[in-house]
Amino acid sequence: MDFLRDSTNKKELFAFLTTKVEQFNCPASTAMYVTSGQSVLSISSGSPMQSCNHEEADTRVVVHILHALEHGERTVLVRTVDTDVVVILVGTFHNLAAVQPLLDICVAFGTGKNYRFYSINAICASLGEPRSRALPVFHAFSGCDTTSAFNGKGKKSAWQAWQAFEDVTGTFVYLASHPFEKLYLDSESFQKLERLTVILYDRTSSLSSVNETRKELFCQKSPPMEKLPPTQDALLQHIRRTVYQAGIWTTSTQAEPVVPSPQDFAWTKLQLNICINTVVYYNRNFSLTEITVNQGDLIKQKRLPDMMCDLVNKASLNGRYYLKDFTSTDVTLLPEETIQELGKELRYTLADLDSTEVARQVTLRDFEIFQKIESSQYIYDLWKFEETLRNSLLKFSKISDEERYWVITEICNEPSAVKRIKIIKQFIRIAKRCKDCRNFNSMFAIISGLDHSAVQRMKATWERVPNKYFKIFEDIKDLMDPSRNMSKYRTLLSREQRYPPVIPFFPIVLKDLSFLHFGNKSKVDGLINFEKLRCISKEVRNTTKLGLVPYDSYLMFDRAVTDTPGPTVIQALTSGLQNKNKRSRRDNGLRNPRKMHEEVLMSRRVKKYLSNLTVITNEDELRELSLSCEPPPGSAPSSAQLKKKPTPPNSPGENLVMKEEIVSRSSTVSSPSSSSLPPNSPRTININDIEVFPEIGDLSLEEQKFPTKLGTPSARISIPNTPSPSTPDRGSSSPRSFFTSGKGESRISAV
Amino acid sequence: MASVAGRYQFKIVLLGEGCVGKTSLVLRYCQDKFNDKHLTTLQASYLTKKLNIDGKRVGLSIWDTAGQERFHALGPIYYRDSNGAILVYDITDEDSFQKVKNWVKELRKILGDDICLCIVGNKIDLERDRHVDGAEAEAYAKSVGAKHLLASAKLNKGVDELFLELAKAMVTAQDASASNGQSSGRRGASSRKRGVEIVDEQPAGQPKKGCC
Repeated sequence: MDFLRDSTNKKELFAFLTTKVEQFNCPASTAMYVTSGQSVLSISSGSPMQSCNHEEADTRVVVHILHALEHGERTVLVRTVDTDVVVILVGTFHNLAAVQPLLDICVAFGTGKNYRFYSINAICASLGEPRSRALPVFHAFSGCDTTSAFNGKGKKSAWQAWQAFEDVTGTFVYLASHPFEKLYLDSESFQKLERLTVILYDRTSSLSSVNETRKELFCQKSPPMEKLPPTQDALLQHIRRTVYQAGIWTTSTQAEPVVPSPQDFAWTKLQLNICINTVVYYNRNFSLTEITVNQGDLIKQKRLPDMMCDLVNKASLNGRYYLKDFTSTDVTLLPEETIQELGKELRYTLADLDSTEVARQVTLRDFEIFQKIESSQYIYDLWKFEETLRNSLLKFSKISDEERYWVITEICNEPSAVKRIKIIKQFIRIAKRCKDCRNFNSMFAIISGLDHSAVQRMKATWERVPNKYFKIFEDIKDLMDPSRNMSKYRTLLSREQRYPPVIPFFPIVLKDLSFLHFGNKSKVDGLINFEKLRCISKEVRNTTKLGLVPYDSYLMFDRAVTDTPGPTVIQALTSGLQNKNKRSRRDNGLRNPRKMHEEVLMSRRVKKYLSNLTVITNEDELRELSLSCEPPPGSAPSSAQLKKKPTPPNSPGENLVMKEEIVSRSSTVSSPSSSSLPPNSPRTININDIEVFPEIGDLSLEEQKFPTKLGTPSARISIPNTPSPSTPDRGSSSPRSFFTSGKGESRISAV
Repeated sequence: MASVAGRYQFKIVLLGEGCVGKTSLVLRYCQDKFNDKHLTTLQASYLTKKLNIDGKRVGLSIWDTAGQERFHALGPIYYRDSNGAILVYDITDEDSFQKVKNWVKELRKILGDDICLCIVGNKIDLERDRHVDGAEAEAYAKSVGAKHLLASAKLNKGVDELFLELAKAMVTAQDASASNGQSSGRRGASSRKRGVEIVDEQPAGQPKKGCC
């Protein structure tokens, strides 16, 4: 096939075939015609034919039929696999019939199983003369090899539209009988075809303009862009191409028709001699400008260079691109409402951003660094190699402190109590979303930021955080419970690490490694302690494995953390189904252009917000800010604070809810303890109960066993007798299982 | 924190810069071996030790922050509800002593006087490389109401004394607050009350959800 794609190959092959066919010995009763370029060779008894300039065999066949008919033949069988030929024959049937009234044309169509005969006579009889003549134009209009087509609208829908709008038949016939007529927006034919297009897209519409229909359809259902009808200009181009193609077909009875240049019919000639259907506007008087609205509604215009790539990402959020005629003296740069709209972009604060998007961007940003930590960097970190060798690791370990101070700064920097509550709620939502996408590092960082004394001491603010949020906050904080070696978090991690990517809580990773390193000697009796090294490498491998699979930014929130223990097959199946549902819902959302636009804008806003962050890391400064937000209870009586509360909220509904909460919590407020715990935290009790009597707790838990073990000198490490290849999950679930399983004899591997 | 029938249970947290020898001190104390030939179980979140002070049974749970010095966020998780803190510095490293000062400041700010502090200069086997002035450290400790001790995990010097001193201080503090009755008693009661209140609060919160 590729061989024939090359036009010179094709030409040469056909020339060769022609010469071979010429040498055939034909029976005397048979006439054979072979085309060769523009000329026609006749072999044996046939009468000679005039030459023919048709480009394609599709139309040339008509000339041959005509020639045959003129020489007394009546029955014609055309062998083809091309629908176009059938359409051309139907279109020209009545012209041919004028030459030979007893004409009978059959088409042998298709190949293999689909091989069948069509009688053109029968088709034309059932269509009637006007529709038969109109068929080629309709075929080109509804899309063929050489013309554009309406997206999602096939022949059937087009046919139904034609049935519904019979008036257009006249137009088709007119175009068939007036080939190569140049149409304009105000041509009657164009208007008819435009109406047909409207019906094609909206059967019930009474509109006659495609542009109006686009607007109406978009407002009604806001369908995806590609499902809308073309614009009037695009339709005109399409119809011009249709007219051109239909013209070639309907003039096929002429051996040497005069065909105008395709460039007059919405085709553009490129250097490579390929005609493609694009329209290019270029005008030296226009240039692309970016107009931005800055602080204080100051409007700036900037002319952009002609060659500029990646315009989408270079556009600033508070700016718009315009094509400006710089010869014009119009001074209005922007309409008033656009100024307002763009000015708003400057005033976006954290509370206005979408929490899911913030979590997404934070996670993607952090993961990029986490992913870069190579296994060797963990080792270099343990043995304190020079910092350049472990820069990704150091960079990543700084993240949790940065994110923590980000939370504290945002909250303490907000003098308005109402807004402060909004920010706290926002951070709780972000932390929850981080948990959902298994970014445990940021989750902990944000929660410990909220737990910082400068934030926690603002009791009056916390009292007004809705219970729902407070509950989420407490639930996540509960995961940070350090008792039994962070067992709650470790259980969660061992469940979630089966679904990478996961960003682990990094301090715990480093802590586990440090304990492996400090707790064991690297050399025992002058021999290298391989046991220790093996433990470390296993731990490092488990961690790097979490970063091997990259995040899919669209699906990262689909698999929300479920509280069920290990998923069974059925659970896996059902959760798979749920995922599918969620995904398809999301896909629908993505196809909606307005929503898509909003999403992209939001993600750019979040990126801008994150890149412009200024974070205060000075504890004293933060404390002062916190004090100015909410003076200590000593300086202002707490009762005054309580009274002050109901006044600021702006929405009456919110006000009501808050009052209710103040009542429900006010009893706890009275104790002005400076503890960093939030009011009525249940954690205080939890930890103590477990810590004080570790032995009394549930011993069946693995985590329970080992903390007590360290104290007993008899406990020795050993290689697990069964390296358990069959259960890699258990083995890799956490470093703990290694030690707990080591109950056998101790062994030292050494060289 | 609580004492049950003459039995004391305390939580101790070890804080200090990396590489000052926190883990060595604890390992030395809890296992009494520093250069053991065998690998020992490790990486426990906390180590425990039982003591007998003047006939009183005392249980210590010791929380080590090794490897996590870079994560400031983690401090509060560990020192919250601690009865005692051991702040370790390296006598050959002036910076590590500054770090200790920061920790003291933070602990006093957050936990007030509820916590017994013990500042420890480790690595006294490297006396000749000393960079932190002993007298100055002693004076500083006094000014913040902390004990100051010197130790060497390597030579097993001062390790037992260190934990014993701290344990005694904690017992004294506990006894004092118990005999005063009021402050500690009220604190315990209020914290218990808090827990109860949450239970009360949830039913109150639920009907609210319903009407939204």
